[in-house]
Formats: sequence, C-alpha cells, structure tokens
Amino acid sequence: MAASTVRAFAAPLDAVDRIEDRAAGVIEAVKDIVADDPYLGGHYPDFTIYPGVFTIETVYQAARRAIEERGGPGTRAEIAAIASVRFSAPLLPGDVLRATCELTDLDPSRVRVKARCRRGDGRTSAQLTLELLVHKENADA
Amino acid sequence: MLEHADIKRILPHRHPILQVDRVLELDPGNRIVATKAVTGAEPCYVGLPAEAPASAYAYPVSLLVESLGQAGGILWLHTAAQRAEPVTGTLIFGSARDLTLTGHAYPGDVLRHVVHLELVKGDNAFMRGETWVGDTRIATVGEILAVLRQDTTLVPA
Amino acid sequence: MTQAVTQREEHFEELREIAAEVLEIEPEEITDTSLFAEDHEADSLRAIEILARIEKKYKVDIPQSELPKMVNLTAVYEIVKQHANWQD
Repeated sequence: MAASTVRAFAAPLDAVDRIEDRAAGVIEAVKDIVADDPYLGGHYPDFTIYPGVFTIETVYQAARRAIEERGGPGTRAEIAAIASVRFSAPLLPGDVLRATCELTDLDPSRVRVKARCRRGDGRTSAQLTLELLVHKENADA
Repeated sequence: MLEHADIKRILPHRHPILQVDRVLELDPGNRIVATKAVTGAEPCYVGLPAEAPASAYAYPVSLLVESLGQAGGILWLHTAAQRAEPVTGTLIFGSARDLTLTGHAYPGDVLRHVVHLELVKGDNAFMRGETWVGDTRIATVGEILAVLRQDTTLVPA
Repeated sequence: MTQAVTQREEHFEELREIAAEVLEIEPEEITDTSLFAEDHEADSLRAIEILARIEKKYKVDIPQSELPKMVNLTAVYEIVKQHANWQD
C-alpha cells in the first residue's frame, strides 16, 4: 500500500487512483489495474483478475470522498445497501477502470450511487447501485 | 466440517483474498454455514493512522461480500463434486441484488455466513444468504449469481 | 373465450413484471416485441436471471438451450407456455 495514502478507514486497497471529472452530482473515478495491488496475489495465483468486489470498493471510495468533501469535517459515508451489482467483463492488469458515478440524495442521510464502469476498450465491466448512509462523527473522536 | 486445507482444494482463491476459514455445516445442494475470523493483522488494516476512530476498523463491505460469496462458492462446487458433475472454468461473481448491511464486524469478530443454494442452471448458481456476528445479523443478500467461465475468455488477447 | 384471453394477458403481465425487475426498468418500457439485448441492454447474465425467476415462479424446468430464443417478451411467453403446458 502506498505510503502516501490518506485513507483513514479500513479498505482492501486504494481503489481510486484519480478523479478525472466532476460535474454536479456526477464523478468519474479512475483506477489502473495492476497485479501487485494488495490482495491481488491471491486472485488468482496463476493469473490476475481485479475482483468484482473491488469494483464495488472503487465506486464506494469515489462516492465517499465526494460526500465527505461536500459535508465537511467529520462527515462519514458508509455502505448501507448494494441494491444491485452485475459484472459483465473482467478487468485484467493493464486495464483502466473508469467508473462514472451518479449521486442522488434520497434524504439528508442517504445517498444513492448509480455507477457504470467501463474498461479502456469502452466495454462495460460492471453496473451497480449502492446506497450510502451519511452521518456526522465527532471530528476529534 | 471442512478445514482450511479442504477449502483450498475447493476454491481457487489464495491468501490473502481467501475469505473463508472453516465450514461448520454443509448440506450439499442446500445450505452451508461457514466462518471467517477478522483480525487486525489483515492487509485492509495496514496504514490506518493512530488517531483513526473505532469506526475506521469496520471490516470493509467489499471483503465481507467476497467472504459471503466464497462460502456460496464452496457450497456450489462441493455439491457439484459430490454429484460427480464435472466443474470446469473459473468461478466468477456474476451479480448480486438486495444486499443490505445492518451491522459491522471488527477485528476479533467472527463472521458466520449462512448461504442457501436456490437454483443451479448449467454454469450458473443462484444463492441467497446472511452474515452473522454472534447473535447479530450484519448482512442479508437476496440473490447472488455465481458463474463458471472458461479460462480462455479471461486471458488477455 | 373471454377466460382464455384474460389468462394469456395475465401471464404476459407477470412475465413483463419479471423481466422489468431483472432489467431494472419500468414494465411499460418492455413491449411485447422489444428486444431484451438490443433495446434493454440485457446480457447473458440477465437472460439467465429471467429464466431462473420464471422457473421459480411457475415451478417449471426450462432447458438452457431455450435461452437464445428468449429474445423478447412474446418469445419468452411462447417458450414458457410450451414447457408449463399453459392452455391460454
């Protein structure tokens, strides 16, 4: 794991390398698929595939970052539900995962995140809908 | 009951993404109860700052779902082996629906997954399940679709 | 006569409901002849999910070999009708 990580919550890996675009309510997160990321050595020993659940992690981390920046210090967002997720193409080392995430406020403490993930070749690798629970935590806790 | 060595003969996943430690009950074609112990030594906890609050140690949902899915994978592949139905290809997470989180797990907790095999259609298996920590249900999933894909479709051209 | 038409319509609506749920769209968007793959972005996973839900609901076994033919609602209806012995 990169020493430069600023992530302050448990996660299998830093699943967002950069945010490339941000319009109102829409963020585009990018992750380069590399074989030496944490956990990938076991998935699988003979050949590497970016695990489906790590795509969920990419979308979650991108949305969490946007929500926490918007909400200010102490804002936390966690996954309350995965309404649906489906994987349609594998991500292999060398692929670039681009997740277009659409954020909708369901109520002050719930945000729906609808994401379509594409590979460098334009093919859709996954589509998912998450619900995040947003709350304020004591900043100095 | 299946121990870790048995699990590694069924699942292709390896350390550290092998997310099932032990199978407590297995009723082929029907149901599995499997456990995974969460420890602070896992890679997902590397690098957390000393001032991180307790909530930062909640076990990542992605790994929890992977663990639940792997329990289902064991149930399916073990069932197929018992029925002498040859299984080829790589186990893939196809889709999931209606997964709700109602609690958290922390280092020291043991995840206990209960997964039901609902339908097998060729290379596709439909399952549903729950994850418990002690007496508390922390996750429910209405539908998981696991798929076996032939390796050739996964190898880059 | 009236009875038969009603039954057929009811089955169509039930199947439309199943397909809409799986494809995550509104039932009205699925016409009797709109194509699951071309018009509604269905892939092989979605197709197998529709098949599984139909099997569960009607307690019927439909061979996987029928999948490629299940291209739209009308085709699905005809296949289920045949395997479930509907007398619509």
